[in-house]
Amino acid sequence: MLQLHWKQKHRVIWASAIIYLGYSLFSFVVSPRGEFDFSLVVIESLFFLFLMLLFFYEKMKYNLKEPIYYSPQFWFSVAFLVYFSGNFFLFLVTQSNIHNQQFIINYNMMYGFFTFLKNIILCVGIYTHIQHSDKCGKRLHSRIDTQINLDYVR
Amino acid sequence: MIFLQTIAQSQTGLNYILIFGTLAMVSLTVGVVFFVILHQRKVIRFNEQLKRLEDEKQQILLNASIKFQEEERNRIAADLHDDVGPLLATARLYLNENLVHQDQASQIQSIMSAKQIIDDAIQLIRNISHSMMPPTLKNFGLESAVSDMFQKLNGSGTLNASVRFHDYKNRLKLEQELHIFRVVQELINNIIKHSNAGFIHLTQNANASHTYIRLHHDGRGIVQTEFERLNQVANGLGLKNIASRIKVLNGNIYFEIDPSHTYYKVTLEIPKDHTI
Repeated sequence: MLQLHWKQKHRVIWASAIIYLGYSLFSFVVSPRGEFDFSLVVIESLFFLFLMLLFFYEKMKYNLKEPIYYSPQFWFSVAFLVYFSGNFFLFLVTQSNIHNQQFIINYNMMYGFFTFLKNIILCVGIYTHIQHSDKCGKRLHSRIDTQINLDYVR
Repeated sequence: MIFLQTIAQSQTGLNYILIFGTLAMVSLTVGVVFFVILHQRKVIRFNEQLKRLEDEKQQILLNASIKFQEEERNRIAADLHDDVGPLLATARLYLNENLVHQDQASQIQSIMSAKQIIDDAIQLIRNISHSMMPPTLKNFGLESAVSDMFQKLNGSGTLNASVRFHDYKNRLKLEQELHIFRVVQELINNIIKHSNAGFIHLTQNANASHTYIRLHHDGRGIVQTEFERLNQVANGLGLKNIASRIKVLNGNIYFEIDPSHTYYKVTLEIPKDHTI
């Protein structure tokens, strides 16, 4: 999804993803049975927020041909940005309130709302993607009128 | 994180954290997204405007170059029609059918007159052809052609003109030399017409990649900003012609005034290996 321009950035992202995966596995093995370490989700949120901001920075710097909202990647990024930023504080305090009944109700409500919002924005992204592909297809075929005979005749 | 978890122990604290924290994060996100969209739109609009200006400038240069070419053709056509045509017609008059019925002395005189007129016509055609492609430039290169031109300028007695080529061991391509020669011609034409200069001095030098030609004169000159302004206005074919030739050469031209404010400098920077 990202169109990174620096090789180092690519490397940093891959390295972070691998470290994160390693940490998740470690946490899964170490944590007591039946419990989930929410700090993993907080790290994941931060990682994704960083990625999305990097994406916007790149788009702002290099994509100067057409408005950013015509690209499906923009909508996908916005969807995840909204999802992770909306749920960030929720994930942050879940660990200490997992047994609080009132909190669980609020959690479900907020999580549901931001997930719904994310899915709606993803749909917009998919719609933009379809529109974009149609436009590209038209660009390929509609240049020359098919009625004009351009065949080579001896 | 621990601090937040401590505050979140009470239900009210937890609610505050959730509401204000989430609101802050979502507002930040929306702010970032809007900022990106607006900033990008602004940059795109600015780029489009730049491109439009560049296109307009190109169009003006192209029009100027076409107009210049047309004027040149008209001048050649006028020269041929007004000078060569009448000369040949007069020669034909001398050599009409009645010539055989005339006495020998008149015949010889008519033939000599016709010969003289035909010689004049040949000279005239040669001049026209030379003005299109100077033979010195073609045969001996830029240095000789420019030196020739400056010698003629010196001959007029009103202007002190001198040339110095420092590094001209290898000739440039003929097309490049012709463009440079025309630019120099146009610059000198402008200096004579508008600047009231007492001297013109031309120097040439080169490095591995570029050839540089600099004209110095002590008349009224222009600087780069003025050149660009004059280049934008609709009239004034000469400067646009210079600009379009420099563009064809993929070179640069700089109009400057010397720090001592006693003379002006015009410098041409031409890449050696550019294919026209």
